Amino acid sequence: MGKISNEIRRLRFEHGEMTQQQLAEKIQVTRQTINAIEQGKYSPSLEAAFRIAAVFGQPLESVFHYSQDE
Amino acid sequence: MSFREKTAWIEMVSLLGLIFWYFWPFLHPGHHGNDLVFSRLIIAAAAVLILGIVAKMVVAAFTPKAEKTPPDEREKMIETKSRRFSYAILAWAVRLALFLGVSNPALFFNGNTLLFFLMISEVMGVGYQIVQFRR
Repeated sequence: MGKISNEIRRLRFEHGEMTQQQLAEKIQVTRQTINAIEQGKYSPSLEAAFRIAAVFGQPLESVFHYSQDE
Repeated sequence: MSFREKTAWIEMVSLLGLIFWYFWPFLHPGHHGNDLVFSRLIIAAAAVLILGIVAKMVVAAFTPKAEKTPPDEREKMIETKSRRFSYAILAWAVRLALFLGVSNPALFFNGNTLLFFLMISEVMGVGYQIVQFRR
């Protein structure tokens, strides 16, 4: 199984120190879900991932990275 | 703690309360344990239902916005997984009841045995949900 990491935490701070709650409201999920995504404990659906990327005005691959285990 | 996690805790406490309230007398020596005491069960279920509704209303009053928000994709996934887990527990419990019923058919057909397994599977399902929420 591969591992999905992300840049959400960094991007939030670069976007006016956006809180998890603010991001959650923008993409219509709970703050706990944003926290789980940020920590890599939950992989969002493709739709949610696109919505997160759109909030930061970034392409998907700049927000989420996939690394395959050897 | 999210609204749905709080709701799961309420459900867990209510179910455990119901189990202890109903099954406690069965543990006492001298109790034959074969009677499905419907009056006791109905009183316990009604009490748990009312307490559960009141507790959920209190939680909703403190977080009105969260209460109105539909579950998001992660919450739906957790709910689905916990249902599956709960079902697996129930299926094993029924197999166990069937196995025990080979030597003691009365046990399998005893409503209390099935009720106990059903409640335990529900508790395990809600417990699984809480673990997933807290991960």
